[in-house]
Amino acid sequence: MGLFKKIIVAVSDKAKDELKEYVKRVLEEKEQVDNSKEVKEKTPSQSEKKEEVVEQKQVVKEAKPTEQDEAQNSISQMIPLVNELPQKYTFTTSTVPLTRDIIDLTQLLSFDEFAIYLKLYIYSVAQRKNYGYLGNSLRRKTGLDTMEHRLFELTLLKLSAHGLISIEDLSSNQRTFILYVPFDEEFMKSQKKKETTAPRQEEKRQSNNNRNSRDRNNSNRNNSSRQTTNRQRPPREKEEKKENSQKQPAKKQSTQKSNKPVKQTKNEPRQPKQQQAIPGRPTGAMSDDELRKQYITFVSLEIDKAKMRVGRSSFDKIYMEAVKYIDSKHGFKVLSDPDKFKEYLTNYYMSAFDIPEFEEWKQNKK
Amino acid sequence: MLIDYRIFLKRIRDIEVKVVLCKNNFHWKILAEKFQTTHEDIEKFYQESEIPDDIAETIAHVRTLLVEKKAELPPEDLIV
Repeated sequence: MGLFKKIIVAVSDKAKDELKEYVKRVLEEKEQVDNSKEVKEKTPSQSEKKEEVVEQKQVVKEAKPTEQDEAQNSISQMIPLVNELPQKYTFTTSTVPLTRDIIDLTQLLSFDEFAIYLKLYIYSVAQRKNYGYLGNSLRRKTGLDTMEHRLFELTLLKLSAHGLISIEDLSSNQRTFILYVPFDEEFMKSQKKKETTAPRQEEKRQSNNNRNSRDRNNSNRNNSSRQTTNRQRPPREKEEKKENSQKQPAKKQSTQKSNKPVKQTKNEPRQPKQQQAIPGRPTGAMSDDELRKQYITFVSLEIDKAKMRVGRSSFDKIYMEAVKYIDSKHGFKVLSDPDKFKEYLTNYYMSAFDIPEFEEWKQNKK
Repeated sequence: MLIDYRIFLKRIRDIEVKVVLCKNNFHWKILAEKFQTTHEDIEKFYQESEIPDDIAETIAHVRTLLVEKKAELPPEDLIV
């Protein structure tokens, strides 16, 4: 009986194990089937997304060509202003010298940078100085006011990064610029020589013309003297008078012609003075008033620079010391007199920041 | 005499108080002019005798106060 029971238990255990294995297999198969189903479900969604993206791309592709087409249409609709082919010219550099250095520099710049630099360069040459206040008036004068403010500022920053312009902030509102201008001294000298020699040649021509006109006058006079000697012949007199009357306008014309160039010779020496103006160098024809004005701006700029360099707090301290100094030296009355106080204050600043005096500055500038 | 002394002292001390409250150059200028007139008046009054110590001290004190105030106030534009 014991053996029989053991056999039954062994058979039942085996059956149980087989059942378990069977159930496991069934479950695994089910899981596999489910996974496969899920994978199949996921893959079609991604594909749908891809299809959407492709559709969007197609839409974008369809949109781009339309803009391009519009641009092309607008360009094609534009009327050509110049039909001739561009020709090479040599610049007469007496007014705005475009040296090789400037050309080389500007070739490397982007469009906006190039535009701003060149405009500022032309402006600076016209102004005969390559520095000044950077504000709205400058933008208006150079035609840069139509440019967007952000773009203008950005390009200025780029130019300053290139080293073509240095910008200094005097205050929150005021800024100054110094434009880099490659100064070719030999080139300028050659230009000067040309300018000085050209008027001389013109003077020579005019003097020759004057001589010719004088000769003509003399010949006419001789004719008239001859005519006086032949007074005894009355019929000829009338003829001569007629001739003279015909000649008189000619004489007048000749004299007018001879007079006009003389006036020009008087005016001509002024031209080279104007033409001699070289950017970055003072002109000799400047009057003292103009120099004074320049000096005033120079001093105010120097004081502003010193203010920036020293800092607000220490500048205030210097001002306090200046007030005390003026009070001790010139008396209390000067403090309440604004004109005198300003004068003494500027003198104090000039001595404090080593700003040259007018005569010294004038000599240095020359 | 005593009344005059008190009046002068009061005038100067009024300026002293006003200097402390001064906030702009225009106000300062008015105070400076007031100070000058009072100073001149005191000098005129005490031509023969010496100015009392109290008044002299307050004048000096107000003067330094005015100078310090001028230095504290924002500077006007410069003229070369």
